[in-house]
Amino acid sequence: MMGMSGPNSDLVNFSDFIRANVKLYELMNNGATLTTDAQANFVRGTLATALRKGPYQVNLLLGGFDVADKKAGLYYMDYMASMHPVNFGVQGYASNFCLSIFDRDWKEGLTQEEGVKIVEKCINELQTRFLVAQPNFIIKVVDEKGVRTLSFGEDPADV
Amino acid sequence: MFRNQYDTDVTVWSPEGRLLQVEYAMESVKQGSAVVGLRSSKSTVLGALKRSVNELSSHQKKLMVIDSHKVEYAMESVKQGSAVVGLRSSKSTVLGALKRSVNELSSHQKKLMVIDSHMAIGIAGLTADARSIAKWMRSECLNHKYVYGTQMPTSKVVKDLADKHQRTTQTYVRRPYGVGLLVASVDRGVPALFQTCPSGNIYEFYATAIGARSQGGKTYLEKHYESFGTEDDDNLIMHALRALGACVSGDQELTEENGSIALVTSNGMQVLEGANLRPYLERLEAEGGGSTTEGDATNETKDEAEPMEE
Repeated sequence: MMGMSGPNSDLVNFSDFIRANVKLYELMNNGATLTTDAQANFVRGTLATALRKGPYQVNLLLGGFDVADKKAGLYYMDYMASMHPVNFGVQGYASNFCLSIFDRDWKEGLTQEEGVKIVEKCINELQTRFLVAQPNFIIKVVDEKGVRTLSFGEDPADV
Repeated sequence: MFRNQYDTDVTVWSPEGRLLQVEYAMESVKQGSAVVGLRSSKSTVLGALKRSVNELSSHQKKLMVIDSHKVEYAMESVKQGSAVVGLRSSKSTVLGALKRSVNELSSHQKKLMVIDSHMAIGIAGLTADARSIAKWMRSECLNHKYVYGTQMPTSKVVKDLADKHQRTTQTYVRRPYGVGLLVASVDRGVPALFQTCPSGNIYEFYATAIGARSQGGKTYLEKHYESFGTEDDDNLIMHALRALGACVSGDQELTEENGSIALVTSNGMQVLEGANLRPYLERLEAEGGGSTTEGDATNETKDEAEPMEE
């Protein structure tokens, strides 16, 4: 699962390209899937190769769960093709507000409920303090059961 | 069927206006085991009778693979090579190989090759062809690490290897690779053993043997394979040596010069040759012999080692 930020042109083009290639790997290999770290390395490699030709202006967070190793992984990547595995990550202006909350509240062995509460705390902080905060956030989770949407936010037209 | 001057090339018409190579290829379909298909207004069903080489191998997947009979001669080349055995426990995979030397003054030809930190192969047949394949496999594994940052899954290498073999069976200007491989690996804790053959078919095994006199090895492995799952690495090596011992010719014996073992575990790989094999061979002697064939025993080992019992 990737969370991406950047101009929509590159964002959509890049994410479609990655999604298609990950799917192609599965089709070519009898359904074998790429692990989270393999996907992250592939994404970073794609960004790196394009960097000196026509860079993709996308910053992203890539998260996944590997059923075989029973491990979750989160990777921070930016448009310059730097990559680092992280316990928590933020892209964009939100980092000014949210990184300190994560620094304070994140600890080893959080449950999913605790994790979602921290995310909600971050969203609240943005809505209180960030001048150009957007009203809607989608919250998604990936675990051994796969990817699912926890919260879809409200349509401003309905409010 | 007819054997005449119009049936060698696929681009040649016979005087009757037939393409005989195409018709011969159609014979190949009749040799394969049955596949049936039927449909309703909403769905289609395919059913296939899978064949397995013997009870130790997986059943050949039918709904994608085409058997080729064109490469029987190339497969003979594998049978001429000296024996390689492979077996696995629930944690590790072991390969054993009998190395040949041209004469007393020459070295013994190495038969076990390391592909990656989690994968090794044992070869039987044309060594030059095997080295070419090994070079390709190493390149594929390294490229995977470069792009994806992780070890290449063995199933992927082996599948691509099968395609590589198959291409040679369907081109006029190329010949099949005259070598069979046993591919041993441990993929993130899961051991695997595959056999390749010049036809492009790939089989997965609990245990198997290929090469000259490999039937003796297969017999031993068939007898004992059910106990391999829980064996520790040293015992697994002993099983490999016993299976290898069953493949020696009448006047030959398993020694530290002509034996070799590769052990692949989740922590890495070890290739045992020469003096490193000695403790295992000594254990084999203590049990009562490294060869199960009848015949004269020639003492080819160093002075300290005792002759193998026949």
